[in-house]
Amino acid sequence: MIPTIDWGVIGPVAIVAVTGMIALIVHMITGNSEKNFTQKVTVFGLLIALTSLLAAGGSERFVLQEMVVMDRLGSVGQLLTVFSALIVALVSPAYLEAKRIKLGEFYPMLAWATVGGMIVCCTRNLLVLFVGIEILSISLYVLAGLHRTSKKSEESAIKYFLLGAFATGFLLYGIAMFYGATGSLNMSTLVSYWLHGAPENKILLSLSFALIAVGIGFKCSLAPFHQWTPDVYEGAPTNVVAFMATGGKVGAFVALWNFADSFGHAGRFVGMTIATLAVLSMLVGNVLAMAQKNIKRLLAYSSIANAGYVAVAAASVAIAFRLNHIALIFFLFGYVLTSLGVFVVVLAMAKDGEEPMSLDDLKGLASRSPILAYSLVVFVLSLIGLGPVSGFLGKLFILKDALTANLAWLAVVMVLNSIFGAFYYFGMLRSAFAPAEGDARPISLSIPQTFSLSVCVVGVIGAVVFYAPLLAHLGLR
Amino acid sequence: MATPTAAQRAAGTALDFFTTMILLLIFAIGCEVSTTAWAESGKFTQAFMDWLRSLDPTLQDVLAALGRAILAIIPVFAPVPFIIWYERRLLSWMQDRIGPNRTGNITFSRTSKLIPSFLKGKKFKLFGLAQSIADGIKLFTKEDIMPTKTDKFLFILGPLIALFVALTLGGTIPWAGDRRFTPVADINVGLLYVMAISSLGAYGLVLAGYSSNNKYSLLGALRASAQLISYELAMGVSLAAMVMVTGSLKMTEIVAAQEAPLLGFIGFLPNWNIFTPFGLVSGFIFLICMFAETNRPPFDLPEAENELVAGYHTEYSTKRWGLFMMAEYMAMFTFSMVFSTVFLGGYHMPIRWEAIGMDFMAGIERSYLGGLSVMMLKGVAGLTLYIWVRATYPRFRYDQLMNLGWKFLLPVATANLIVTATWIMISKVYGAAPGWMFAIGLYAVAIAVYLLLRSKKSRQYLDTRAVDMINQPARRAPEVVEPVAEVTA
Amino acid sequence: MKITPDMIVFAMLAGMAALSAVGVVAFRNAVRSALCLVFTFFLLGFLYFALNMEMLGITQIVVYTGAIMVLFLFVIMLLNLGASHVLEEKSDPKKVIGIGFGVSLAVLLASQIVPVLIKVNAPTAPEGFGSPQVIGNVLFTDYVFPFEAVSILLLLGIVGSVLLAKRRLS
Repeated sequence: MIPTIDWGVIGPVAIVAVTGMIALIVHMITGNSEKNFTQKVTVFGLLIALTSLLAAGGSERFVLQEMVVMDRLGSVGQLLTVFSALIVALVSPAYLEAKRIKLGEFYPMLAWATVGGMIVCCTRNLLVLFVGIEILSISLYVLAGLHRTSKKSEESAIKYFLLGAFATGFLLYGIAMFYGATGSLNMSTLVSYWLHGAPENKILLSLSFALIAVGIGFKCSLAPFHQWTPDVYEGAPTNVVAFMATGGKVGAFVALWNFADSFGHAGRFVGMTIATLAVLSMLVGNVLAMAQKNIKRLLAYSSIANAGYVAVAAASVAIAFRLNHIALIFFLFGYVLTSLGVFVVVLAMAKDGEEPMSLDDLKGLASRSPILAYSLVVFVLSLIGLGPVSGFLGKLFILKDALTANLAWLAVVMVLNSIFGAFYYFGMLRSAFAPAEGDARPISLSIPQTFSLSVCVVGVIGAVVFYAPLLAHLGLR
Repeated sequence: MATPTAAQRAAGTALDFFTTMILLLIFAIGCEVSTTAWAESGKFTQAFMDWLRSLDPTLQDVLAALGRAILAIIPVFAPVPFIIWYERRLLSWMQDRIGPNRTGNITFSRTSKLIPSFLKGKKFKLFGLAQSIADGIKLFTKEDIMPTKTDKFLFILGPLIALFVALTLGGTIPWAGDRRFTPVADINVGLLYVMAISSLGAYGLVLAGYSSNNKYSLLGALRASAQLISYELAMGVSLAAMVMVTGSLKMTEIVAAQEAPLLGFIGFLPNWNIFTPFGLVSGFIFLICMFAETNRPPFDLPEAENELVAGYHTEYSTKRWGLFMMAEYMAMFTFSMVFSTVFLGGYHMPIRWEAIGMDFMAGIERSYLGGLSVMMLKGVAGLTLYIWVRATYPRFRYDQLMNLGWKFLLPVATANLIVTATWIMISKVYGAAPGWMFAIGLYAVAIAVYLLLRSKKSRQYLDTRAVDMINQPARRAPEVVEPVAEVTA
Repeated sequence: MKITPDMIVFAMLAGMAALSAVGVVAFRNAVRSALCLVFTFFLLGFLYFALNMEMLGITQIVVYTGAIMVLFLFVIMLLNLGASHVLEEKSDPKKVIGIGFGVSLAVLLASQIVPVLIKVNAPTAPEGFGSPQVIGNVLFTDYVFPFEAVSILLLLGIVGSVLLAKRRLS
């Protein structure tokens, strides 16, 4: 019997997957030509996917039981994944040119990584979750090693691959135990088994939860499983890191939230576990970031801290049943746009095989390119969570969730950490507005770079300005 | 190295023997657990059957499976000396020389008193048939030499695995129409079983090459593993098309599907897969892959004598080398059988006897010995092809081998798979005629694309792209020196 | 509990599989370890046979025993990891902790699984369970989405390995 499939739900994923294939064929035929058809095809395909996602919207839809679940969170997650891929694809040609990486296969791999992220966003089935995570990770392993002549890039790819493979093992073992305990791969079966199942199942289930948490935690770079993040971010090409930190993380965050959500009434224990991870991540991220001089390492620790904030949201939803996902949606929106913006700034500074590595390299940015510097101000404010920027809004909603879930202590830790964060984030600004050392030539921005930057800035500010209509559009108010 | 004592030698032989037995035991168990129940039978002697019935049903199954296993092994094992003789004779005939034609000829003395009178002066000709038997005796009685610093266990295991694979390969092939005797196990994944076992064949070569502690052997082993894995792909895809046509992986059902009238309307000919367009392409690919899987010329790179001495079996001698030899010939024979089963209608003759009213012949076909004889004949035909190709084609270069496998066979097999799938779909939905038209059209498109890709211009273009992709400096044509006008003037 | 021939076959296969699995970690020589793994996979295939999952068993043998492990051996031979002393480590506290964790995990799992298994009477598989037709039907209907996703995974695996293994860029 052939099941009916709602193609509107699978459509965007399929479009991006096919885009990757077409881009690969185009690259095979045209090679690394001047006109860069591969990039154009990829951008075009991602645009179509973005449009179809924006057009779809609407109510929660299921395909093939729970293999593809298109709810609001999922569709926003997909939107953000595709969006970050689009921005990265737009700003990459200049960067790849500057770093002399002549590999057009970057674009198909980027499209497939997007497919992985999109699949992870929209599923409540552990098998599909696993396949999605694998697609995402394997393409990121390869992309991390894209800069073949750089030892650091190779090192980061190997590190990422070995640790990632290990984490995958944990995840898969957890999924197997889950199946053993419940006889199903759907997350929704979890609640009834947890509450009404035999006591021996409970131990198996908690074991499986622990293992799955390790697997997903690795992908989110939550604290005890975060060690790969700084090294990989430092070594991998910056445009790849830009995607890794945004599109690559969204899927993992959404998966973490979905998994925590699926425990229903039974999430006390799970929530406390995730809360512990959250505290650890926030502390590790913010404290260690203060000691960093390297921009990419700093951003890596910043992303660990941000994973901690997401984990706070996940812990709250596990404990307070039926919280809606508005907090996570707003936080992800702010996080993705802000991080992308920071990376676009860093990418724009790359020239002649060099790129800014340490904070000192940022010096003189204000005089070299005022646009970049003032954009950076907006992004840094958003990262700290200050002022009328979307980072503030996301954190606020998460704090509200934590308080709803009676996790006041967690909320306090989060606020304290945000204050810690201000130190090193302002360090970036201090460098940017310091007088130039060495190279003081003005930085010229290409059209795609300007476009990406302005989209990010407008998004970061607009989310606050138009937050009431946005909420209305999301059907939450 | 020191000469082994008699006890050591005996221990070595015992180890060989026991390892073989364990492998066979595993085989038997594997067959047992997947066989269907032992069919009721009155053909055996009643007493034997009564005794069997008095046993535990599971034990009955085990015994039946063991019996069938022996019946399956004999037709592969017994002809080996004849196959070797046949190869040598045929090869020498093709190369216009004589070959072994003497060994085994017996001429009795006219005068000796020890000879009975009716034998005196009589000549018996064996046409050299005894040569391979003599070789065998020589191999198994020679001094067993094992080089120092070999990995002894693996060194012994290598040829045993090769033999195990060759013996068990035929486990699911129906040798005849009588289901009581054959196949050993009619499992519902029979064709995949052949793929699985043949893929194990790599281990024999790889272990032999690795354990020999010899660079040539190691290189041979590396080549073998790469070659076997590469050609397994095309082989699997080409078989998949046939599985889709048949709708089953069961070997008996694949044979049964080929009993129908050819293409659905030619009544007196059977619908052998090789006669259908899909089967023709698949069969062609499978045939080539079959040569590669058995490491026969022109695919004998793992043992290429002018590059690697003798490849993976450089360090082997005596009975262990003999095992490799036997395994190779048995694998050749069994693969010919697989080919006949999937593409040549199995144990059937190429005429549908029922359709032309010759029920007598149909009865012969259905009996055990009749079917077995037909299969053996097809096997010999396959062997002839093997030898013919060996006598005709030079060995591939390594890059040619890989290009053939990955860039020709695999795409063609995949294209064939797609055409077959389309044909099945359209035939089911719209009827036979549109299905055929579509299939023919797709084949035409495929051939057109192939010709386009092979055209001189596109080949030049693709070559430059390929060179570009692996970042090698482009191969330059030798520069043509323009004749300088001044000199002639 | 009556001992049936099925159980004997199972015990033999499972025992040998477990033994060779121990061999994978116990052997110092990388090739021996890999071979033990091959044997484990091979026997696992037969265990699937014993559970009426012929398709899965054969696939296990084709994929793991026949393809992946051959490539494992290929790599081991290329790197010449046969020399065992390279991999030797002196007494390592990690080892003890690892063994402790492993044993406790095994005990935990056994305590969960064994009581359930004892209650099971006879395997009751539906008609045609594990046949290629049934698996094909499920794969192309209910599981078509992960199936297609896996095809993308494999494609990007190929492209990625080519990308990383290409000749050095000048």
